[in-house]
Formats: sequence, C-alpha cells, structure tokens
Amino acid sequence: MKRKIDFKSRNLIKSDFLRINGPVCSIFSIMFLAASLIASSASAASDTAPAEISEPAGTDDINDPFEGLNRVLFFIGDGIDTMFLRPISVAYTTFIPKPLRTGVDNFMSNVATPVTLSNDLLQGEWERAGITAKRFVVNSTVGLGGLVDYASKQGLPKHTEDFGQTLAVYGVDSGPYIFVPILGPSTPRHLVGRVADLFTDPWTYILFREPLRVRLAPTAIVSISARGDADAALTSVKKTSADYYTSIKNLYSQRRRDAINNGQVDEDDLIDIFQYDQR
Amino acid sequence: MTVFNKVFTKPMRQRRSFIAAFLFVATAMVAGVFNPTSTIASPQVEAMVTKFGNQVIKILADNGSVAQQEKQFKAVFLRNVDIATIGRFTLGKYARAIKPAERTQFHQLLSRFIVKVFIGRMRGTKSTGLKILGTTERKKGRDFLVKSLVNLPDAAPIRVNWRIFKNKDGRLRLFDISIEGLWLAQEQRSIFVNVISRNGGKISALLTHLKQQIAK
Repeated sequence: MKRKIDFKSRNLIKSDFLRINGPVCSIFSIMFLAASLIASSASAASDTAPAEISEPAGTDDINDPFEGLNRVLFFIGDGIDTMFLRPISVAYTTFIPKPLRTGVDNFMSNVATPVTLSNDLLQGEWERAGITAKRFVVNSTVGLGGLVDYASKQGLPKHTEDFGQTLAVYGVDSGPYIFVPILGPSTPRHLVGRVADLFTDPWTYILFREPLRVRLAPTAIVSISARGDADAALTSVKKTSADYYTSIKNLYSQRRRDAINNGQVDEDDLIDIFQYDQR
Repeated sequence: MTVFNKVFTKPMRQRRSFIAAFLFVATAMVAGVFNPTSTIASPQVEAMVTKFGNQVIKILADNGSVAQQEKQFKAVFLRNVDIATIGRFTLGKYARAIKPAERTQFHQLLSRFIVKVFIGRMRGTKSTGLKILGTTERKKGRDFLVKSLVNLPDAAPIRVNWRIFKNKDGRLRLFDISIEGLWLAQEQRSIFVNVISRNGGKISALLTHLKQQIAK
C-alpha cells in the first residue's frame, strides 16, 4: 500500500503544520500586493485590448495574460504541494479516522454558516438562505453543536457560497487568472471575495486577540482536509493531463462557473455543436 | 391493340400504381417509425444515455486490468461518439489548419487519448446505477441536454450531464459529458489549443504530444 506512512512523517505533520504558518502569512501579504497590482494593470489593459472574437461562449478559460509568471508560480506551488501540503493532508486522511475527520469537517462548515448565509442573502437566493439557516439550527442542536450533519439526512443538503460568487452574480468580471502557491488557482475577484468573507467568518472574531498562526489555524485545517479529499482526483488529473497547468486552469474556470451557477447548467453558455459537425 | 389495352394493360397499370402507392405509404410509415433521421424525441435520447451510461458503469466497476478496461471502453465509446465533430471542437481556432493526412492520425490519437484519460480518472468508480433527471430539447429533434445522477453506494450521487446531438448522418451521438459541472472535451480543447499555440501554431506538435501522453 502506497498510502502507508512511517512514523517519521507522522512527526512531520505536527511540527510542519505549525511551521508552515510562518510562510503562509508572508505569502498572504505578498499575494494581496501582487493581486492588487495585477488587478489594476489588468483593468488598464482591458480598455485597449481588442475583444476576443469567434470563440463560442462557455468554452473560454479565464483570461491568462500572465501565463509566463503563472507557470513559474504554478511550478513553485506544485513543488510546495508535493513536498509539504500533500504529505500533510495524506497523513491527515491516513491517520485520523474517517468519523473524526467528518466530524471536524461538519463542525468547521457549521461555524462558517454566516459566510454562506450572508452570500445567499446578498445574491437574493431566499430559498437557499432558508436552507442554510435551517441547517444551522438543526445541526447546532440535534447535530451536537455541528459535529453531525443531521440536516443533510433531513432533505437540507449542504452548499457553500462566497463573496467571489456574489460579485460574479452582480456582474463583476473575474479579472485575469492568477495562480497563488498554497492558495491555488484564483482571480482578483476570487481573492477580494476571500478577504471580504473574513468579515462574516466567526473565527475572525473568536480568534481576534490570538497570534496570527492561531488565527490561520482554522483555514489550515479546512485546507488540509479539503486537499486530502481531493487527492485522488488531483493525482489522476496530474497523471492523465497533457498539460497539468492548463488542466488546472480550465478545471478551476469550469468549477467556479458551476459554483456561481449553483450547479445548474447555464443554457446560454452551452456550445453550438453544429458549427463543428461538418462533412 | 386497343382491345388488348382495354382488357389487360389498363387494369395492369392500375394495379401497378396501386402497388407503387402502397409501397410508398408503407415505406413512409416504416421510415417514420424506424428511421432516426425523421423524428428523434427525448425518450429515444434518454434510452441511448441509459444504455451507454450503464455500459460504462459496468466497465468501470470491472476488476480487470487497465488495458482490458480501456479496450472495452473504447469499443463502447466509438459506437456512441462522433469523433470528427469532437476533433473539430477540441482543435478550437486551429480546426481549419489541419491537413487531411494529419486529420486521420489526429482522430485515432484523440480517441485513444480520451479513452486513456477517462479510464485513468474514473477507474474504480463503483456505482449503483444511473438515474435520468430529465432532458431539455434545445433544437427540435437535433440537440439535447440530458441531466442525470450517477448513484454511489456510500457518497452523494455524482451529477452527470450529457450533450447528445443528431449528426449530419442522422445518428444520435454524444458530444460532451460533464461530471460535477466539468465538461471533459472543454478541458481537452483548452489544453490542445495551448499546446498548438505554444508551438507556433503547428498541429504536428500536438500529435507528437498526444503520442507521448498515450505512451506514458
């Protein structure tokens, strides 16, 4: 079994988990600086750039004018992922029993309810807001303070919303693609959304007086768990892709579009097949 | 002659025209029922998706080797897709630049590559069945979007959407499939266009690239 990890790497989880918070915060600040620079230069560029023509709707990736830089950042990010993030998250999924991990995931997503609820409301999704609110009540009580997702079994399925999606619903353009090591694929709209969501994230207030490494812990836990869950999918994409960078960019573009459309197919976005059916 | 005509030829002509009319009506009726070019409706499309989907589910759940699964899937895949249409789509703006000699090779490589990617990613998926949620007829009798769920034994079902179209030959074919909102052909298109453009617009570069990927 490849998944078996020796005792040495088990120690690595604990120590590196804390150590990694140092680089995380410096990367955070660099990232926001870079994002704001890229955002401003991109908006200036889009005024003069000619409009893309002849490509049908729905097929376009997020615009990638900084592909050269992004490929370098992707290379670095993939290296960091291979050396640290993946081993940590694989160790997490290997050593922590599934029921406990599910409990942690449930608890974290229950705490994050205000983020999803506020964005449901900002998007005018009253029905989904109702589901989010009901889920919170059910899971906080019957679900033992959020540890058990009892609401899902009662026909109240889980969904998430973020301010990046709200901005998209308001018609804000995503801006160019930017790959941020550790954080992964993103856009200025998505990054601005992440910062905005900090205001509705309860952890911001709960851990207000704590040092930065503690304040980042909830995000780290959620990210490690999510990275672990996505491991099989990511590994197979990496193995089967003719160009991993482009695959990740395209899959990110598609995934965001799907999230913004709440999993519904946007009929206007579908490809006109018949323009390709020629004899 | 006139007597002969009156007695024999005329009724013969009438009989002939009657037979001709009967054959014409019969052909039209048979064609109307069995010919896929005349009326394709949602139930027919859903039947195709159900059949294809269940075949794929069976192959994926099979414990055979990768090579065996690829072989089985390729046979089913080629029966249900129009590789020329997918090929033209995945080449994007370079579709017109391909030479006829390259095209044949591209179609062969493309089908082998898609099979390899699909099996590589979906292998080991144990599903308890496919449930059709509904079909949108986007262009009457020609363009369909089928929404379905692939049920899993111990997790939430996977959302799978199918683009089915009637091709120029009048056959129902699969154009693209989306799994949890991700369209497979769109991802490949994005890669192919990127590979070609980074190699100075040369389609031969993509063919070399695909060969390497298949050999991996």
